[in-house]
Amino acid sequence: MNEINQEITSAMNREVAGDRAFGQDSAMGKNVLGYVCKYTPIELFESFGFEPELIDTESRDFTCAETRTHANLCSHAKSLIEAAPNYENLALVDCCDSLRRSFDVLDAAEEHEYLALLDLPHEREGCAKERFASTLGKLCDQLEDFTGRAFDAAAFCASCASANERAAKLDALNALAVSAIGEPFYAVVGARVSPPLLSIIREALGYPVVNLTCSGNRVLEELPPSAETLNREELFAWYANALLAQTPCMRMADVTARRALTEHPQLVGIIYNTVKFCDFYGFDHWELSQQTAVPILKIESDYTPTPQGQLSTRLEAFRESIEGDIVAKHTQTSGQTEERGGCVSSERFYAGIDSGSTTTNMVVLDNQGNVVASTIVRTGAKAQNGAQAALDDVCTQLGVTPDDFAAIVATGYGRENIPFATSTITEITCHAKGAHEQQPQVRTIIDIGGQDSKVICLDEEGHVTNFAMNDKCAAGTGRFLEAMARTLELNLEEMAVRGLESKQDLTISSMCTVFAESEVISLVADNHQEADIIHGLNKSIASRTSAMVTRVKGEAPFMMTGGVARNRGVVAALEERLGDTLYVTDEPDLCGAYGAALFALDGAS
Amino acid sequence: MSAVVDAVGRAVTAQVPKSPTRARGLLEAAYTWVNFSGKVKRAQTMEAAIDHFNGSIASTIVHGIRHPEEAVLVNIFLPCELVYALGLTPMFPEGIAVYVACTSCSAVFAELAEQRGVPDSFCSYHKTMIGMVESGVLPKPLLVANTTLACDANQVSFRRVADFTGAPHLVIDVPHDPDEDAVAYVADQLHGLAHTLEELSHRRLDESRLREVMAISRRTRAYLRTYLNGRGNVTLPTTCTGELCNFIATHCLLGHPASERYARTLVEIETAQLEKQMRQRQAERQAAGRKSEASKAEASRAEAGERVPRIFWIHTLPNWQHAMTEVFDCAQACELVGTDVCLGSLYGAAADSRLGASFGQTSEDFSAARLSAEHIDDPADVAGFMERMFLEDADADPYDLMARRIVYNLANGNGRRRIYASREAALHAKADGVVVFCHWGCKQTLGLSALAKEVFEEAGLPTLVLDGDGCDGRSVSDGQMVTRVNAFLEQLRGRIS
Repeated sequence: MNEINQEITSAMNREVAGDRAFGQDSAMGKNVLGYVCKYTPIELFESFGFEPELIDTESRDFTCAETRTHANLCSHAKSLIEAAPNYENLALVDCCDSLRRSFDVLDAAEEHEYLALLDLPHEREGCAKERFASTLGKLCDQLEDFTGRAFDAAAFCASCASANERAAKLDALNALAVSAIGEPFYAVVGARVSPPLLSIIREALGYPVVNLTCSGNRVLEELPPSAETLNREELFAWYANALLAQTPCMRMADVTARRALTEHPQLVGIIYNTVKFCDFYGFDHWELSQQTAVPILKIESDYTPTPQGQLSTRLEAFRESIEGDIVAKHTQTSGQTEERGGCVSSERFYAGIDSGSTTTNMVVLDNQGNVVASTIVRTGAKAQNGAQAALDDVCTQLGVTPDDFAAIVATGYGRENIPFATSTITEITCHAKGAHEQQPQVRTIIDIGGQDSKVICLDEEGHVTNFAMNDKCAAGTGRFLEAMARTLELNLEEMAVRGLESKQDLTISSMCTVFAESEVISLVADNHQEADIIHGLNKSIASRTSAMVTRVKGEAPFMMTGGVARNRGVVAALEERLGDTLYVTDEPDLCGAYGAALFALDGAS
Repeated sequence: MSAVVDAVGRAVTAQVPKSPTRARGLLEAAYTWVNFSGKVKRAQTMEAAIDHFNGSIASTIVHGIRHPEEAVLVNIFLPCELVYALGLTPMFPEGIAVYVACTSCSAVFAELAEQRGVPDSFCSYHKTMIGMVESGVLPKPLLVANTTLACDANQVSFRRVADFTGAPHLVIDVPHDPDEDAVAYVADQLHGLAHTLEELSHRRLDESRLREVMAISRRTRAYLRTYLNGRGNVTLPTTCTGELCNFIATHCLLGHPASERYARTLVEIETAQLEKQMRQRQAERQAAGRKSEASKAEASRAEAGERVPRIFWIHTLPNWQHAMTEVFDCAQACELVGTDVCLGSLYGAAADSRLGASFGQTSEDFSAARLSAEHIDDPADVAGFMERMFLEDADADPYDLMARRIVYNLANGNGRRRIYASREAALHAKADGVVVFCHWGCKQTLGLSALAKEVFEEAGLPTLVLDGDGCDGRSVSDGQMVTRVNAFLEQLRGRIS
């Protein structure tokens, strides 16, 4: 047998190292078997004395995984490689390229006592079923060799009988719960969701959240009553069918059955999870968004601890748009609120404060809803300091003290860290409110701020119907322009107009801020005109933004808000790309704060 | 990039949103020109051979666009002998994406796909294909057919194209573990593909015609094996496009007469070069016999200094990227001596059958091939050698052969099959180093890049893991890539001098 055969065969049949007997080898006295995929025949493993455990852990970093593979491997696969040393036994499935390669590197490392990769067919019917039954039979033979035990049909049947009960113990709100659920609920669909991320989602939303991703929708059909009379081949034929009959994941050839996941009459919203560098579910999300009327929020996760800021903004905005309770979340910390409780009649002002990454913006209304003061200050290193500076500024403008404010609604990334705010609302809802008040005909808002860009769709009442945000990449944001201005040694004001003088149509093709920067340096070295380069950069932002508009099906009339709306070059490039004009108010960066102030006034009335 | 190509690219980009039909017309005209300019070159040179075959690929693409009712949209691993036997034309994402990239207009299609929900981290070959279909530039084909080998992109992109165009869709499910049961399972599905093609095209599959096509396929593979066997002993002006041609000749265009013609020409060019080099060495030896030992050593050092590093390449090549072709084409700064992607269908299947093995015995196969090569004293006996080597294939069941080629393809199964085979091929081609090209979005390759580097370097082959893109310039930086490649070549030059 040659080197390859030896290597591959050893992967499936690796004997227990040393002379320890199976069942006595673990430090914990258990034969824990890590697995990741719902198609894993965990009942078969259990019948041989293994204790299957779903590996679904987040990693602080991917140092080990990226050393053994590559940074652009699927994040879930990388988290598996990081977690693998915690398991002596692993059963993987050839779900996708990333998991196949993960198996290869783990196999090459020879660190596991038992490591297997199950060959799963892509088809679910006919010959595929027969082949899978045969694969299960071969696996059973290997397990007999590995453990020194004979296949125990009764133990196998008992494990199959309790499979769904076991799944319910892991998470009561899994796919099994759907048939019984009689109240409005949300579903998490798409790529598998890690338990900490699921908790964050559940905390942020009002109705129950059911996990319908791979980590929550393992459901095995019931054993036939005659199971005990079936022979081994018949049992595996049933088992192959039962495993393949589950809701298909996106790697299967026929995925039409996936649509049943989202057809429940009580389903009010879908959180669609995608995992960084897993490409399957972007396709499913697009198809689902074309077919269902149920609102969808797309999020991207990467199996690292989730930063709360951006995600909670999205989840809260989604909840606000679905549950219709745009009742501001009252801050818990403010003793001032209670103090103010007794003297409401003496207060005259309502404020909104938008704590962004670059600037903190504040708008103050009187009790008739007229804007009486506003300010834009640098946020600086701490959101709290920027907010205090903004409050001090408007107080000076009005000649009042903070006690003269009846309500202050905070929005933006720093909204949770503003001690004097009486409540918080997401900037998505605030931008919608502010924009609708100023231009009721607007149906799509394009908000490009310092660290993120958003597209928000509105109905005729000004309610948010859909929205999208950029992810962790700065390309297409104010930060991107700042970086490019630094490269060109210009200030932002010069950047805003210089591109309009362009004579040559240059294209900056790089998607990444860093690559774009080196592309700009090359263009400078090639003696291209500054104006042409800036125009190319503006087109690049317009291209990314218009892609987001298309994704959420944004329609005219459009309004642009956020600091970048002051950049006439970007506005012109976007107008050209969208084939329509953009409404831009005199103070586009104040739209979110204005919306927040309107909520403050509404709350009081 | 020439100004004309750039202008065509800009014109296509401008037309895509306005008039996809006009954009299609421009691309047809451009590729017809590529075909024409390749056909008129008759010289027996590497450049002419590549241009000629490149023209044939362009002609296939043009035919598919003009006659979509005869076009089958396939992935690169689907055996196309059935398609050719029925007089139909294959279209494949790697081919069309590389062509639009070389026409400087892939970005418009990739961007359009991303606007329509395709993840930006998705393989850019497939992304470009989706953009071309959904922009209306690529028409609805007769059938969409793909294997599940070798990458995830196949599973989603072909399904999406079929759904969008309404074309029928057929999937050949290829088991991950290469074994004889898998061959039977795939062969059975290939019979299904034949029936589907017959029904859709209203043509009957003539068994004898299929055997003729299989014979072309067999001879093409034999020529290319012969070429690869001799590759270690010659210096040739290979190019990134030429290496991609080898990939296509051993996959989608296997069974097409152009592939056989191309492969035969490669053997002829290599043989002529080998003879030339032998004559030169003989003359040098005679001259050296008259020189002192000191001047012999000096001559040897000078020869090593002149030699450019020989590079074995893993995965596809960025032939659209001028900054890279400037380095890798025509043995200017280094010489490309082979790629792993064309090994898959040469050394995975027929050899397994011949050796009666159940797994891809790549190492043995190479040894067997080397052993056989030692017996070719007379270059004129190449045909005889091939006949002896592949005699047993002639009567084999075509469906079994095609299935065997997919199942035992080196892209299937444990990644180490591919790595070990590549190591053997690189050593056999006398490579000085290896470049593992991590094409954007290809988890298959980037996932094994670290392991490959370890294995190659253990075998004495310094390895560069190079991130890049086979067809989309938006995710790469010329400067970064050139710096890495040049530093690597400097490292290799230091070793060989």
